[in-house]
Amino acid sequence: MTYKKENMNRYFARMTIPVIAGVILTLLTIRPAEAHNPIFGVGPRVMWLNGWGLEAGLNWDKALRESRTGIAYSAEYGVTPNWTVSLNTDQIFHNTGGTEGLGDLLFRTKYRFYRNDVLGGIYQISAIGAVNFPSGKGSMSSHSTDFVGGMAADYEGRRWLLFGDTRYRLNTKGSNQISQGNVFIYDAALGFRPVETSYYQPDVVLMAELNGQVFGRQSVNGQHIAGSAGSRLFAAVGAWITYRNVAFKPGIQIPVYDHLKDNHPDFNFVFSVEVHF
Amino acid sequence: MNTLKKLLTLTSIVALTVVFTSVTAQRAQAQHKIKNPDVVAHIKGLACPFCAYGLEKKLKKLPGVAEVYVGLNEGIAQLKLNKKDDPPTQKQLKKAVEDAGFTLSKFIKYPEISQ
Repeated sequence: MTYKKENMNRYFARMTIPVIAGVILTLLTIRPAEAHNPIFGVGPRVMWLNGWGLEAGLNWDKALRESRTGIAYSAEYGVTPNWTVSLNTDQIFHNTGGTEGLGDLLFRTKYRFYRNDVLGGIYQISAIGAVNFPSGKGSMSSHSTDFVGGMAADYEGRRWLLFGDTRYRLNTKGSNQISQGNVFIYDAALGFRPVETSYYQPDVVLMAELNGQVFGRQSVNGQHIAGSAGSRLFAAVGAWITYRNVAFKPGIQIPVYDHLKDNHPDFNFVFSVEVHF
Repeated sequence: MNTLKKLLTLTSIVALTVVFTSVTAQRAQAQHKIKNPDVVAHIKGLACPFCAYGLEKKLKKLPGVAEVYVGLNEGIAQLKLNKKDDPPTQKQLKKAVEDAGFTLSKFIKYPEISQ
């Protein structure tokens, strides 16, 4: 092996861990506002016509040897009764791995193309599209304009709720010459309302989720990074605590299966507040 | 060990909040239904209180509406009209419900006024 090739291999090996960590933490951090949708997944529900939703969520996550604390911000607007657009970003104010500040900006659109209202329940399916703009800095940014497409569906009843979604993130080549592998994301969630409260009483829904990610291979300057592809599965529990137009959503997510090399994520904790008006 | 302690503390806080809120919800005074409502309509899709807020907003914005009650468990909306303004038409009511993301399936009670 030549000297230059040995150096390149050492370079790629050193890049593997921070690149993987950066991608995972970026993907885990930005969680768009979801009006009564899963805490870690995406649901089909949309805002009402001309309705506004604002959300701020405290995130605390650990992956590898990095720990980050920050706030995820989201604003959504109901363009029509079946179409919602939102802007999402996050701000890290404590990061043992390095970069702090604002992350990427995610613009998302959700269109509900199927809705079946029944007495005390609803069946709905929505198409989801999003664009991630690399406005963040350092390890908080993907350094590329990325695209997300997918679908979400649910049944919501007075007692039981069932959610499912699938998304595909197309990562383009970044300004830092790193091409992050595309990601296939899938989620399932089950919700249970122990007490069927009336409209003017606090409402509690308990949530259990499974969140999966399948990462494609990453490359730097056209060279694939060994061990950068793989899959991970998380389990999460959380709750919605709502009163009229205010929602509190705590949740905690832990890995149950991890096939990514040299990656041992610990947990992801969120507590968000959402207000509609 | 520190991480585990933090996780256990956080989980305990969340669990206590959920239990407390559930107990409070059972004992909390329910919103009284409107006595002698002027309009009563069956609404489909009413599954969650958080989502029903939009329905309350849309209905309250209609001309002639003084008071709104949303009955989640019954699947109804009740309106009390003010006597000063003309009441909203059935078409206006249906559109307001549709704009909120629900379906008005039928009127159980509506003032005897031509539309």
